[in-house]
Amino acid sequence: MFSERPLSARLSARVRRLIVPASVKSPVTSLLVLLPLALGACASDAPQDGFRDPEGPIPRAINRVAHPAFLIAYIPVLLFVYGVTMYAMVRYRRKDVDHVPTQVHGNKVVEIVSVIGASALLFGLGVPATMTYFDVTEQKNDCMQIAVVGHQWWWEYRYPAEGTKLETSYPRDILDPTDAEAAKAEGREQRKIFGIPRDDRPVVVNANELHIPEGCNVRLNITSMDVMHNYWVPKLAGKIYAIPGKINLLNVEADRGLASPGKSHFIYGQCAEFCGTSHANMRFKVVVQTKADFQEWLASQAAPAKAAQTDLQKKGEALFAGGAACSTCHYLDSSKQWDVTVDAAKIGPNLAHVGSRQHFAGAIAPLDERNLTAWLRNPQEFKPGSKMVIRQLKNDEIEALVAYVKSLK
Amino acid sequence: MALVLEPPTGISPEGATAKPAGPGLLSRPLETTRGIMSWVTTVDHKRLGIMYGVASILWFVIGGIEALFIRLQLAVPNGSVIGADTYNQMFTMHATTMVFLVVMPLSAAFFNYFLPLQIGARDVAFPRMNAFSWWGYFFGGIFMYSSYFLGGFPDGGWFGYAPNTSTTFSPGHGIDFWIIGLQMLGIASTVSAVNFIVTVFNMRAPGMTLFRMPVFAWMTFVASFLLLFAMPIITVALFLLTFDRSYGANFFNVSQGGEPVLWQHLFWLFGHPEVYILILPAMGIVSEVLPTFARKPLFGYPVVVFSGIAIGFMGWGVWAHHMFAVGLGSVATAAFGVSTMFIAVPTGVKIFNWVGTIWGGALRFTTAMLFSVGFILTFVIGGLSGVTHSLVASDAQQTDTYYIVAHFHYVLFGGALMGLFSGIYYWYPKIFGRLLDEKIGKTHWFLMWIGTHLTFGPMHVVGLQGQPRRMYRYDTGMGFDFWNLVETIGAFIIALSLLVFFFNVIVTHRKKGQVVPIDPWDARTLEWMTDNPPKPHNFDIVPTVHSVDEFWHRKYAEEPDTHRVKRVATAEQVLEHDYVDPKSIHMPSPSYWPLALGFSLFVLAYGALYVAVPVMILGAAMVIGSMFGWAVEPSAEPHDDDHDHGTGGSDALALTTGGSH
Amino acid sequence: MSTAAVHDDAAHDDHALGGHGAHVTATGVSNEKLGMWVFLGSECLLFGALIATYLNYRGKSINGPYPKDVYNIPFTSASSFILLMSSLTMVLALSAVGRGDGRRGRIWLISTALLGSIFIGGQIYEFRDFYQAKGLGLSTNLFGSSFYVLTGFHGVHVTLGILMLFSLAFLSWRGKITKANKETVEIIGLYWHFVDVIWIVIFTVVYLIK
Ligand code: HEA
Ligand code: HEA
Ligand code: HEC
Ligand code: CUA
Ligand SMILES: [Cu+2]
Repeated sequence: MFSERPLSARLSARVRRLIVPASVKSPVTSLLVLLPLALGACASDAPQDGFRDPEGPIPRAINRVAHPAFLIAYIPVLLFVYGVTMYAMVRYRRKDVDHVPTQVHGNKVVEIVSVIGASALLFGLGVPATMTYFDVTEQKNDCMQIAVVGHQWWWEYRYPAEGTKLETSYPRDILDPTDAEAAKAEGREQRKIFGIPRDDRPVVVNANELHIPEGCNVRLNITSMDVMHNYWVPKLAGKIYAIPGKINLLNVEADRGLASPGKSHFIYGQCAEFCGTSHANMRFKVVVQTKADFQEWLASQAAPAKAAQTDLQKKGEALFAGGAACSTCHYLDSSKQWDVTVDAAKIGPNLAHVGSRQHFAGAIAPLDERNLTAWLRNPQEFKPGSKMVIRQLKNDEIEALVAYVKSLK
Repeated sequence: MALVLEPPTGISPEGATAKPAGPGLLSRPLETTRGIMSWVTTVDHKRLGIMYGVASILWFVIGGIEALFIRLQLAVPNGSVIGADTYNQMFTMHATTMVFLVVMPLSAAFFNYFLPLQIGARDVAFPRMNAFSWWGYFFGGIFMYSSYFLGGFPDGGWFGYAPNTSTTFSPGHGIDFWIIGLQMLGIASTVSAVNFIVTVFNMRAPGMTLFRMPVFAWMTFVASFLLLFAMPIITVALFLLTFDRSYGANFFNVSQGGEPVLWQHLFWLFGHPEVYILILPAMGIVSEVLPTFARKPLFGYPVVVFSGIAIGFMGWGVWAHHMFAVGLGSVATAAFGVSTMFIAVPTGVKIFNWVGTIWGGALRFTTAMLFSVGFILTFVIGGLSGVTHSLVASDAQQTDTYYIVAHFHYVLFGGALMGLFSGIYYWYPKIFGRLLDEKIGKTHWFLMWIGTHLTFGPMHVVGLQGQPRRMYRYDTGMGFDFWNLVETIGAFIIALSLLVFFFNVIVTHRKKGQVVPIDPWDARTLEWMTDNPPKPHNFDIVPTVHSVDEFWHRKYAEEPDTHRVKRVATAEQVLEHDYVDPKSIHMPSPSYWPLALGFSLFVLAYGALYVAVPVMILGAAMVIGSMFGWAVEPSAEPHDDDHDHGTGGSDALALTTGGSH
Repeated sequence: MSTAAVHDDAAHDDHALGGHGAHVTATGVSNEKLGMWVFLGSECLLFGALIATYLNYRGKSINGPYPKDVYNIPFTSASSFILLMSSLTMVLALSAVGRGDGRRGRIWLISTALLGSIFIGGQIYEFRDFYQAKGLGLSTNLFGSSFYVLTGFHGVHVTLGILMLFSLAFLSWRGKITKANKETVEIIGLYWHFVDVIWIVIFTVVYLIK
């Protein structure tokens, strides 16, 4: 129940003292809190439930506000209103046609009590809620920063290749490549464009699966390259919008012990703001690893992908660069971030190590032969509206490409 | 603007004849016009009220069927009833329809019909503008729905966040239909807001001070102010988007530094007051129905009125609670959280006063009463979940999930619509001179009540379990399956309940020879002090008002010592008066111009949509032409100075004729 | 709507509006006048939102031309002064109509409309200058978008006002504006003054604030 972080701990104690009477034992508390959710499926069947089953200190701190809100405001006030209303409904039925009750026009005491009572209750809720909010959004002493860039309908992640920090920014002096010729012809300055988030330090790029080390606070620099998205891992943090032209910060922290050496823990995530056709298919996974595993993973991602081995893979490799024109849209170099001013055609996820991922295409499906085949046969059928527009591939081409994609570890 | 172009028609001699040859193309239709033309040209607030009501119920069926498609698609995991794109169009149109074409106009139906009656007026301040508002609403809705045949419905969600609604990401015309349709509805709403505000200020019967107005009139007044100030803000937002989409401006173009968050600020600065525009009329209705069926005055009348005003004011300082996850900075976000929370105080005060009203009353549970009590009991659930959103930390988890969907359907469907249905049952005899069948009505209520909780209750659960909104599909194994199926079943129970309602209407109107008593409910306010349905001029003699609940006080008297209440007069006795020659009361004549102006806007809208300059010019010319026609239209009133009446259909009528002398 | 402001009754009976106003409406202000005030309240929010948009984007353009590259403050000050003066002529028009001096009333109404037209002419000149000579289009940058939309909206309001003023002058010439229905002039005057005052705000915010 208590987080390791001193501030949260301090706060949680304060919050508890403020709003949960000492006499209320924790099991009782949780029982009452769970009342509205007793009807819900059990937690193991609800992998996106941060309300009852958080896996990090931040949603837990949030729940220390949300649960008492139900406990001391929602349920009692509801019961009170239902109680009085229903009592009155039963007690004060009209007896006969001529029954006219005493004409009461109001009562000052009732009004004053209800204003003061409601306000007091709200103060009781509002103060700890606000404190918690400051606490969970506070810039912490993060162990690492990762940049998160939303695209219709997948997420790009940029990890620092050196050290632990990134410098994600929106430079204001990027020249618009589409204006280069016109500017030269007209003899004027080239127009500038805005809205390209860059990380000035070297990065390692992957997509859809966010890897984080367990037990430490990771700061995400979240933004978007097209429309608004909303980054949400219910079990690790609240939501934050990914907004083009703006960088939002989000703290995520996974409990120690979720992963064990050699074994990663997968947590569900989902884009929560409507972002177009396949908004429902813009999911992702957070992969929690031990610190050592994480370091190893990062190093493997930074290294070039293994060369194609089998003939089939080699055929796929050739198609990728040639006949199927996959490389028009996809980088195979994990140090390349998405940047249309560098290469306007590269609009797809970085596939350098795609074969090492468990899920793909907005993490809506496990990355296996069957799904990849379906994907390459018709991306738009697999994922409505997908921006991956390719020519109709032949079966043998697909087979080769699937083999190649899977080999990109 | 035509408002101020009024010419001195009285001076032109034609004005004095019964059938004037107006300078425009169209001469003014006669008061004796019958049949469909009499509806098309009407400027009578009661007929317009009925027209609002009928149109909004029709749209309710359409918006409801859209909701049923949503629910069918979500009944099982990975549903395949409709595809992703259709789904996105469905929830966009569902919400836009329900908010702008159903709840607002259904409230307007009651404003129209009952505001003048409740304050003892013969009509609204500007009858022709009132008719124009209806046409603007009607054509705006038709315009928006015509998108179906012209490239597909809009699909950007009901708050159309930029830049998803920019041409880059929504290249089709759907969004343009949404924008321009909303502009038309906005014009209509602004005009009617001006109209109702002036009506309340100026048209009250003798003795009807502001603090003797029924609470429904008060809530109309407050909601009209909210409309007046909220509409221009969305107008600007929509214009900015139009300039971006059609003329290449950069307001939401990030590559030139545009800020999509600006759209959110403008939209919600409108949007939040909007939700109170949706609820205040229903709260007004409930405040009429509860006292009537409790036979007790509204508990704390001034407090209820003031808290309505307070809600109106506070509603302007909370818009960013829709943007808690946008990253506005912790301080701003926290401040908006706190301001939001305290809206619960005036709302709570209202709830307690309603409970206070039925406490110690003599309750009669008619269908109308059941809907009103139902309103309290469902609205409070939605209100309380609203308070849990306002705790910013927890909203970070709740926002954009079904928990929010649960919140706003409880307040909108369980709140606003329940209240409006209460109004329908309560005032049906007043409007149509027939009582809806009570047995069938109670069945309607019961099914609707069950359906509401089955549909929207489980949304709390799946929302907290992490089901995000606006998803055309969800996977199995997320804990969503069971409750989504229940929600779908609930939605069909609601649909069934509405079929029962329509059945009730049909049965009621097929019953022959039903005579509704003057005062079927033992009501309290002025609208019942006239026939069912009222004559075109509402009151033969405009009553002079001495207190809140004037009608009641004319029927009952309190013994000073014992506080026992005795009946002193029957409704018939109260209504008795000398014969008044209806010809001596002049009501505004019908007019073609509201229709002409509304239709001109319709043409202009298509021009603007396709950026077709000739059509735009034609539309603009028609608009200006109709305004001039409107302005120079003669009033078809004969006048002579013996009658101290206003002409051309407006204000002076109510106050200068009848009662007071 | 309809006719109450320039009430036919008023033509026959001076009491109708001026004298016994209280008999006509509950507040004593005519529906039309009150309606205009209420409507102008709504307009405040319209311009408020536009001005807020402009302010929000001030200094955020990525590309030029920037305000300092295009403004001709002396020119705009002059045309602003002209618009301001039109409020004065409007007052004179109303007082002439109130005295029953139709001819003077017309002269002042037309002067007001002409001053307004000069302002609009200036705005058209300015837009052309910015667009053609200085390369500032609606889509050039944020400044272009927010500048043209804000000042354009105001320009449309002035243009509508001019139309109404000319209509009034025309009606007066036909003998339909008299002392008794001077309120029509007053109401249009309200609108006109509002549009002027808003311009002062826009002028300050857009041109003067550094
Ligand atoms: C009829 C319309 C209506 C009404 C009346 C309300 C009323 C309230 N709403 Fe709601 N709201 C909507 C319609 C409405 N809302 C809609 C449509 C949306 C979603 C828009 C979208 O995203 O599509 C929304 C979304 C919404 C959000 C944003 C959620 C999100 O997207 O993250 C928030 C956040 O604070 C909120 C808060 C509130 C509050 C505090 C009230 C309060 O006014 C409620 C007050 C009432 C009570 C609290 C109950 C009675 C009180 C008592 C019995 C007193 C005692 C109680 C206490 C002391 C707690 N609403
Ligand atoms: C006043 C407003 C209002 C009302 C009344 C309703 C009513 C209903 N709403 Fe709606 N809803 C919104 C406002 C409203 N809604 C808003 C603002 C959104 C947000 C959209 C967005 O995200 O942009 C939303 C979104 C929304 C969603 C979420 C979609 C998503 O996020 O993916 C769902 C899902 O279940 C839903 C369901 C329903 C249902 C089942 C009803 C039912 O109560 C409907 C009941 C009505 C009927 C069932 C029709 C009755 C008539 C008949 C059945 C007659 C039959 C006729 C013949 C046979 C001829 N609504
Ligand atoms: C027009 C540009 C384009 C071309 C050409 C293209 N892709 Fe893609 N690709 C994309 C985009 C965009 C996505 C992201 C789609 C999504 O998830 O919605 C994507 C996603 C993928 C993914 C899933 C990556 C992940 O981690 O989710 C794979 C695998 C893939 N493409 C393989 C290929 C192959 C193989 C080819 C060649 C046959 C190819 N792509 C051609 C644009 C393209
Ligand atoms: Cu991205 Cu929804
Ligand atoms: Cu709100």
